[in-house]
Amino acid sequence: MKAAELLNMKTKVKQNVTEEGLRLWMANYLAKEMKIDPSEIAVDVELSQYDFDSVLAMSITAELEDILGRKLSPTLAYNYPTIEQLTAHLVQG
Amino acid sequence: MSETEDMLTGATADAIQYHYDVSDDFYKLWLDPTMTYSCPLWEGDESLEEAQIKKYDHHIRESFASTKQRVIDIGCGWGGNLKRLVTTTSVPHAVGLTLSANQLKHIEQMRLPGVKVSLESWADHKPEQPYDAAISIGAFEHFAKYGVSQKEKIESYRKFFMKMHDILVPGSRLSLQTMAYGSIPRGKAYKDLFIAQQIFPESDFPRLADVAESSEMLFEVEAVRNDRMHYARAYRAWFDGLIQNEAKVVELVGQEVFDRYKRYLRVFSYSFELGAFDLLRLTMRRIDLPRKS
Repeated sequence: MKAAELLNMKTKVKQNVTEEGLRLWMANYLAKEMKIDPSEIAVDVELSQYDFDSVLAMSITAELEDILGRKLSPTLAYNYPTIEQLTAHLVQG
Repeated sequence: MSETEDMLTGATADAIQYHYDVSDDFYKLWLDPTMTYSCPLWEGDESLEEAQIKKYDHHIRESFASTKQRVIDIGCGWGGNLKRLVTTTSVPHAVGLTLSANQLKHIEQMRLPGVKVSLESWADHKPEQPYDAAISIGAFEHFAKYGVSQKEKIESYRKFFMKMHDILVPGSRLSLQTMAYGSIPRGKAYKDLFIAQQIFPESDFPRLADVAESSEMLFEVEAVRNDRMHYARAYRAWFDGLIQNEAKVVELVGQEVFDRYKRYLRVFSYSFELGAFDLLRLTMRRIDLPRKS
């Protein structure tokens, strides 16, 4: 997915935050950053199983803060290690 | 300078100016009034400006600069430390080095007594007389180019410490502050190239061990502190300042620069909070025994 498409997806999620929208955006964001196909990312697999490091964790946490409009915990991606767990937690607020 | 030598002296002037010469007015919108763009030292609930001054006082104290004749500030920014040095101590000669044309101009306009500032790399600096103390705040991050091997990185830093050893008098101190990699595994590919490509081109952080290894037999480490939470707080304060001034920033430098800095300041605040990045303040004393390089 191209950067412009990803940004467009983020803008839509930001306007209407849903668990499904967040999951889709996260999978595509991570796939782009890790240079793999989004279909290779499963929402119920721990991110540590991919090439996910603390720099990427902070990058995605910052993006999520931008989408949700609230400060998040820097340990978020570690406390909720799958996309499924993370998005469920975020939507619950 | 040969290409190999050039690779070992860190970021070029072009790379430095890409970041620091965006526009002074842009930085004024979200930095504190002292225009200090490095980690402050917080002891309580003081303001960002007060914490920046405490940071300068820390480095002046640790380098024993206040009673000296000649002091050098490597990577002097917009001159906050030089100003503090010559207005609150009796230091008669202070030299600042920067690779940023905007910073040079800004400091020259301040007309600080006893201060000389040069648009020059530490690698090219040839003082007429040695210095009695050295301070370097937030410049070491630019002393090794991104992408060089670990061996070359250590060589780059060692060149800096050799230069410092050469231009300082026996028994003198260097008070050094730098960002550093913290809990990021060694050898792991850096997946997010946003910082290396769009924020600090040609630059990379050291690890604490890199600083220790590259200064062996040149400087002894007398004290080291990791104030990463101070920097998490500062980056958040700068981020809040940027957001509060969004309209002015966009008008001044455009949406693309605003978006880039918004992302950078937020990512860095989280990274220091998590411990992926550290903020090191080291007090280093010149080793006066015959050295082997």
